[in-house]
Amino acid sequence: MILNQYLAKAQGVGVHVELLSLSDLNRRLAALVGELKAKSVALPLIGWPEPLLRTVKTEVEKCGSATVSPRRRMDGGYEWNRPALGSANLGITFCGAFIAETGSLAFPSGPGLGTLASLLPETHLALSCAKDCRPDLGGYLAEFGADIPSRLTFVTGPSRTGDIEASMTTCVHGPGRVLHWIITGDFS
Amino acid sequence: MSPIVPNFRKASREAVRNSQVIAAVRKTANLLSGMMALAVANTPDFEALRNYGRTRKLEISGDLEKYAQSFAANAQAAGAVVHRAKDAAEAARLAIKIAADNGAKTAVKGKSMTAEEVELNEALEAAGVTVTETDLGEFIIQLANEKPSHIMAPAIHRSRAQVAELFTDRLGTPPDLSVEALVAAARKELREKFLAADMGITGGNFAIADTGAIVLLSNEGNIRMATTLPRIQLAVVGIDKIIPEMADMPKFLALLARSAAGQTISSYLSIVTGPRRAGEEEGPEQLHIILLDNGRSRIAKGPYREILHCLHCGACLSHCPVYRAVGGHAYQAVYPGPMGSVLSPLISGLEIYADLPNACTLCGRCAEVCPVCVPLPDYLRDLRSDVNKPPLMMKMAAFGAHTPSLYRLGMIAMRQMLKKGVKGLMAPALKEWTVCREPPEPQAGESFRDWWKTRSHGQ
Ligand code: SF4
Repeated sequence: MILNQYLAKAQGVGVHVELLSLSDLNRRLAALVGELKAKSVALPLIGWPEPLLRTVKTEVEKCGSATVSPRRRMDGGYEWNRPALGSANLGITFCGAFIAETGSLAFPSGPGLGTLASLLPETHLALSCAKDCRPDLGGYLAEFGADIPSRLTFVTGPSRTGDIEASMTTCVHGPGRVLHWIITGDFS
Repeated sequence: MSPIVPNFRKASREAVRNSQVIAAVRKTANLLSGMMALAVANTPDFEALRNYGRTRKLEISGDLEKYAQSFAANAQAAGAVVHRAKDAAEAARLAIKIAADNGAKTAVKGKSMTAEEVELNEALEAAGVTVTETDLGEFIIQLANEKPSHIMAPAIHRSRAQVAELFTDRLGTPPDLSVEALVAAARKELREKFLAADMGITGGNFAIADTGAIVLLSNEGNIRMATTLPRIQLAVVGIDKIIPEMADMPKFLALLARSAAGQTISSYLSIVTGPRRAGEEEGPEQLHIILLDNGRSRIAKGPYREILHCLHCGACLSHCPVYRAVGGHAYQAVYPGPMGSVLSPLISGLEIYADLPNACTLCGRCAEVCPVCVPLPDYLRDLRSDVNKPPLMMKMAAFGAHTPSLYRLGMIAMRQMLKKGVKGLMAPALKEWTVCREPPEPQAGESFRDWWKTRSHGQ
């Protein structure tokens, strides 16, 4: 089962990965936001299954945190409020594909998809649907055919370095903590 | 070019005495090679992957220009601006022009050995652009005003205590910080630079011909920042980094990540295809790619072509007994270690780096660990004969060894000399050999030839 392979790989690279149902999400989110005392949460709004986004947004706001999202411009494009984004303590993104072979989360770029939300805050929470697990990197790349997005980012564990005496240390430039909650059951 | 005339013999003699550096290099090299061994052991088809890598690379190096042109065309079609630089000076000029045309005053840079080859920082700084290295190892050596001493772990020669001291001195941090605290200090310092920079500069681990994409690996996240935040992105990529298709990439990535740091994949993998597109809120407005030749097309046509297959994983450095004994700086070249001892003379000239092919015991470990099977020991041996016209004494020895009567005389003389000890007239002639070894004990009793004679008479 590729989901089991993914779980083992992702845990191996230091991702806090959990399987949970949509009904558990509120409780878990409230606990996380509370634990981090997250005043503001970076939250791209595009590409989510509707019920998932609704739950996340409502719960985060209920906890008293502000959300920072890419704004829609007059011309239809999107833009970040960078200073606001820079001060977010938590980034929550939807991850539409994750790779069993390597334990990676895949983030293709696109209008409103905002990969900075998974990079600037110290904690990154990715939410996925269990059905979106892919066996390997090659197969996933082939799905795009000739239509590759401008940025295709794979996240495999926290930001880390071994540059000082090869001692592995996290949270260099990107998040020191990566959580991946995989929602089971059919809801989208 | 640096004004110092490289002298490996002298530099290495000094380097072996620097026990602090050597201890730091050994420690990290041991850890890196241990992690690699584990990752390879956990990959059942690693040999098949290596063979794939080598075969594919042979196709590429056999037709570099075709792949370079196809990459350039596809990258342009994706909206990138591709520049071809025939040498380091041209690449530096192009980079300065790109910065000037866009009014870029500050740049954040990811680790790139190709940029080191071009001496890009020096060139940009001279043109008024402030370049900040953002890879932690590079940041450390930039603060210390040093050069990288390993192609993957640039600050391998510095201990934690030395980094702590440096940070206190240059950044005003409290003394004797732990590794975690040092990392946190760097994060804070560099975050502001990322957000403010006009230009992001990177190398490229792979360039993919059929899509025009640049593939970048990083564990820290600095590459993601540099390719997402600044309005201009510049990637400096050697034409040897081109691979034919996107489908090749996961395989080369698997080879590289395992060999470089014992990983299946790095923390971050960024595949960059052109600049920001319409409606996107991130990514540079312009993506410039400088494709650097700097001797690579020439090398591809010569007898050392496979050095261009190098993935720059650093495994041959960490496994090399010479590198581990002297550290990277003794090589006085952008590329140190076994791959560097081949590549540096080929790029910059054998007359400049004549010593480097000798910086090798021919133990063969580098070729054993190389993920694309570059025949490094063969190349180092062949480069030695390119450098050394055999000296007169060796020519005489060769003639003697081919002429039985002379050989016999020579052996008699040699035995006499060994009995008396190497002194007098012969001592200066053999100095190079005896300076670090004892001459062999003279053989007791009769010579082989005499013994053989009596033996055949007896029958
Ligand atoms: S020559 Fe081989 S082992 Fe050495 S850096 Fe290149 S790819 Fe790695």
